[in-house]
Amino acid sequence: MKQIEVKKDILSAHDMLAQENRELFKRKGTFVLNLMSSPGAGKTTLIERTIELLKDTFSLGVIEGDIATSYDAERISTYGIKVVQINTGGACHLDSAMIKNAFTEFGADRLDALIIENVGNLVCPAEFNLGEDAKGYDPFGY
Amino acid sequence: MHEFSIAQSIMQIVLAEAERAEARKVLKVSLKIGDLTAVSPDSLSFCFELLAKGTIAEDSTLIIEKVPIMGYCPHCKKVFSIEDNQYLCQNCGNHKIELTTGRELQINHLEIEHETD
Repeated sequence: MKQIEVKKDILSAHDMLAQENRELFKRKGTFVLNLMSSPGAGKTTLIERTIELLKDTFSLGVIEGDIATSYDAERISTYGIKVVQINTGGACHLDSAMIKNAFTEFGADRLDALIIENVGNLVCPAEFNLGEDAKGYDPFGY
Repeated sequence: MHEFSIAQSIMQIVLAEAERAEARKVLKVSLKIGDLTAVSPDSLSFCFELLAKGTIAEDSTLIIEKVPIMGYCPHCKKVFSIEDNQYLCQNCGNHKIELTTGRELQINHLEIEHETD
């Protein structure tokens, strides 16, 4: 029997992917916001109001994370904004690999800002960096 | 249920490290998990056990060391433990504190068995 030292961060492989995303977003000149909160807090509503205020000034894109449905993506697409849906199929958070794939769906269009609506949950999403510039959350958990 | 993806990441690292050390079997995996990560040890052990089936880590024991959340107040230069989500200096009430521990999500070490053991 032998003991071997590992001393490795469990999410190190994931954090490397997040770093790749961060470099990709920087190259493309896209500001990325990862919006997290509990279900019903108003994430989609906040995105709708933001689009109304900013869509004439900036080119915007939205990634909608949801366990199973595309209701929120349908809501956002009525504003004439490009939306990419990610259905996690049960997983309670978005990870960097999902974001990387989703980002390619915006194609050659240049985005000034990308808003990622994370899965409605305030526990798991907080542990997974997506390569974003900023995290948006409601500190009171409402 | 972020325990499942965390267990998957643990398994990837464990199997890679065990292979590098030419292990025949993994006996113990010891982890450090900070309280801020909101990982449930029972759920993590359950997921780990499922993923270990059919690998050299099958029947290995997962040892989880929980790390409490500690804060440091730059004003009072004191370290204190944070309980009940009270993210304030317990001495002066300052909320501009630094978290020193609690976010750990780390594999500490493995116990392995070699062919020759």
